Formats: sequence, structure tokens, C-alpha cells
Amino acid sequence: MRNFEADSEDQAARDIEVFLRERFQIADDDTVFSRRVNLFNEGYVDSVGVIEMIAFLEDRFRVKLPEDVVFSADFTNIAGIARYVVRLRAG
Amino acid sequence: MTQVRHAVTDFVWMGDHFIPPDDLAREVDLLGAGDPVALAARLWGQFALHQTAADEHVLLRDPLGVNKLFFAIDAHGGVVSSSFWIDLVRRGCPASAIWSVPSRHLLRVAPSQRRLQLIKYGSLPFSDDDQQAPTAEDVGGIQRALEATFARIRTAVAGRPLYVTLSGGLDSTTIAALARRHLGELTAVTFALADGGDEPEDLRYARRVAADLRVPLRVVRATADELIAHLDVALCCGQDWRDFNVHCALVNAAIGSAIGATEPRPVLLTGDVMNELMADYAPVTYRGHEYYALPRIEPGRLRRFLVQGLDAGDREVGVFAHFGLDVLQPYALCADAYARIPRACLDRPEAKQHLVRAVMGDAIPSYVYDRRKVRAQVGGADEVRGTLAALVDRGIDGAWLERRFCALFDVDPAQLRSAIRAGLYRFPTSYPSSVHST
Repeated sequence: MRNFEADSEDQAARDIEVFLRERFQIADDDTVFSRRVNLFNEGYVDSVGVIEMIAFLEDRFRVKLPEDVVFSADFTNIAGIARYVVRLRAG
Repeated sequence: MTQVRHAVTDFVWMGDHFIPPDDLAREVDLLGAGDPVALAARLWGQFALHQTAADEHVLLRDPLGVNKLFFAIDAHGGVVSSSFWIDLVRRGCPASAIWSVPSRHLLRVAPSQRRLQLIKYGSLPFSDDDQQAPTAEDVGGIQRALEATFARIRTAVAGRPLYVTLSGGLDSTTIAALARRHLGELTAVTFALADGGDEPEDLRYARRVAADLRVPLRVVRATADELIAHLDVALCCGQDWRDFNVHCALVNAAIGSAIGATEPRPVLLTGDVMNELMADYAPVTYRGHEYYALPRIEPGRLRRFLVQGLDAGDREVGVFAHFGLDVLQPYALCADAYARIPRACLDRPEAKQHLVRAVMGDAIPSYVYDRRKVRAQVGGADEVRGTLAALVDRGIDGAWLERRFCALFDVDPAQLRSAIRAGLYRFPTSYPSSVHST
């Protein structure tokens, strides 16, 4: 796994998007999917998938996510998740 | 001060002292305590408490979330809670206004001030060590924890009919052996699907273990149709729509229905939670489809998420409570000791067998150690049978269960997807904007 230097939310969002597209087989021409779409309500990530996503985020961004993150308003879409992890890394 | 009584029995100890449910309000006065979080951290057991005085409410849930705790706030500042989500639905609370108190948390609510505070009162001591085998200290810690747990259980269940659910696997055999040693007379109970085929492997092993432990074995048999007749109970009282929990809940409904309520109220001991503590699960493939999917991460890391995931789903306590039975999960009560097993140990093949052999030695018959792992809902090591096959063959798959759950709980699919996330029921971290208006 490569070292990640998160100097921008955009870079973080790009990495998260790549992970989600690969892991959950989201097609390139899926017009609903975006960095703002609610990943849970639209069924892109389920109760099992979110655990893999947390594991990915902890590895890639070298952070420890608190339990309550899964119900925070930020943690529903790629942009919000990117913002959250960048903020967490910054302490 | 009043204590809101729920339908599920609270088992609370402070140190070695068991606090009977009727004494909880007096002995565990969370609102009167100078430091309710410190008081909560001193409690041990499986419980979901709601205490209230004037406008202030304190809700408290046990460390592993064995007992469930749902609540809603109404427009007049009333706070209603229950062990069962469906109770709040039946009182007219919309899905958006129903919340859970997460495991190992204390929640304070003052509706008149629109104030809500969620406080974690402890954490499990998961070890991230790279050590490949548990140390003598780890093993001794588990042995002491099991001994202390059964000594405490003895004080809580005296005079009540005792049952142990027994599949003849490592987890339930360990509990049966310890219960036999510490608690005396008990009955083992096992389930078999009456499908007309060969005797299931679980039943063969359960008979042999029961005979060796010299405990009577009660075999509960049900046809697939009889099992499916319990589906609404499994969904409503199991409080989950995901197949792995529904399938367990169905078997437990059949067992609970067969044992039935008596006076005094029976107590069942089970081997549940050990698979989470050891991350000892695997998906099952049946007719080309994978069931019981798991996150694709290594067991040592998966453990934390599986244990966290005990927060959601009520396949044992809730389902048996529906039939008038109490459940105690000894492994949940020893979770701290198991969490100290180094993470790397769980990544080894047959990690559980090695650990149980070190902890229990000859108290477990050798053929149980040698047995291949069988998931209870599958029934045998060599072919998929049991509840999984019975349901899938009748078209009752994950999508079917989700639709039925939505209908029963008056919730739409999008709301349902937000109801459980990463194994946690939805909980608030600030005063909720959505309250219940009736």
C-alpha cells in the first residue's frame, strides 16, 4: 500500500472514489453515483461494506475512526468523508 | 425517581453483588450519583436502563449491547424507551424519531433544554500485539474470567430452571461443561430441522456431548414450515432483517416456543458471542450464491467490528424474551478477557481450537476439538442444510426479509439502510430534530 500524503480534500476524495468504484463494482457510466450521493441511502455501501470502507480509510489515511463516525452527517458521501479524514489527520 | 421497566430482564452486578431487577432503581441511582459515568463503569452484566426524574432522563446500555435500548422523544418532551424497536413503532413513533443507545454508552436527555449528551463509559481492551500465540497470562485471564462469571451467574439464577443451548460445537460445549460444574442441574436443548433426512451432524454431536456431561438433552424438532411460521417473531423480536441474524432467531424462536414460559422464569445459557470475539465466521455458498457475507479483512482486525456489531440484532435475548425466557451469554460477560488475546493469534488457522484447548483442556471431549466447524444455521460440515437451505429453497432470501421487515416496522428501504450501519443501530450524538408528535 502506498504512502498517502493528504494535502487536499480533493485528493482524498479521489482515493475514496477509486476504492468504492473498485470494491463495490460501480460502473463508470452510473449517472447516480457522485461524490455527493448518499452512499447508504442509494445502496452503494451496506452494513458490511462500510466496515471495509472504514478499514480502507484507516489504512490509507493512517487515522483511527471513532465508532460514532458512521452516523455523522459528514460520513454519508465521498466529499464529506474526505473532509472528515483530512480534518482528523490534521488533528 | 422511577425506573422504566422493560420487557427484557436486566442482569446487573456491582462487583460480585447481584442486584435484583426490583432493586435496580434504589441501588443504581444514576440520576442521584455525583458521577453517573463512574457508576456505570462499575456495573457488570447485560442491561438496558432508563431512569428519569423531572425533566432529566438517563439511559444506559451494557458494554456489549446484549440488551437493546430504543427510545423516542415526543413533542411534549416525553421520552419513551423500550427493549424492542417494534414497541415504539406500535406506539406511533415514526422511523425517523426512533433511536438507539449504543453499547457501552450512557445517554442523558433533558428535553425542556433540548439537551442530549452521549457518553462512552469504557472500551474493550483489544490487543493489537503481533504475538502468534496467547500467553499463559492470557489463558489464565480467560480461565479466571469464566470462573468469576459462572460464580456470579450462580447468584442470579438460583432456584430457576436452567437450560443450555447445545450444538456439540466448541462454544456451546464449553458453556455446558462450565454450567454443569458450577450451576448443577440443567437441561441441554438442541434444535433439529425435521426434514425427514439423516440425523443432522449437530444433533449427533449434541447427543454425545450431553451423554458425556451427564446432562439430559431435549431435542426440539420443527419442520421447515413450522420454522417459517416464526418469521414475524424472528424479525420483530430479533430486531434485524439480515439473514445471519434472522436464521439464528428462527431457530431460537422454535426452541423458545417449545420450552415455553414457566414460573419461575427459565434461564438459558448460550455460547453466543464467542464467534465474534474470535472472528470465527466464514461466508456460506449455497446454490451458487454467497450468504452471511463478511467484510474482507483479516480476522485479527475483523474482531473489533464483529464485536461492535453485536450492538444490532437481538437473535437470542429478544427472541427468547418473547417466549418468557431469560438468556445469559457468559462469553459476553467475559469479553474483556477474550479481547486481550493478541490480534495476530486470530489470524492463525484453528485459532479457536488452540485457545479453547489451552483454557478448557480435558474438560471438553477430544472429539469436539477435532470436529470441523459447522455454522448452526447450516447444520452439517459436508453439505448446506438446516435453516439456510430451508428458507432459500422457499424463496425467502435477503431481499424478501428486508421487504417483510419494512412492512412490519413501517419503514421504507432507504430509512432501513440508515437504521444499521457497521453493526450499530442508529443513534443520536446531539438533540434530535425529529421528534414524535403523537
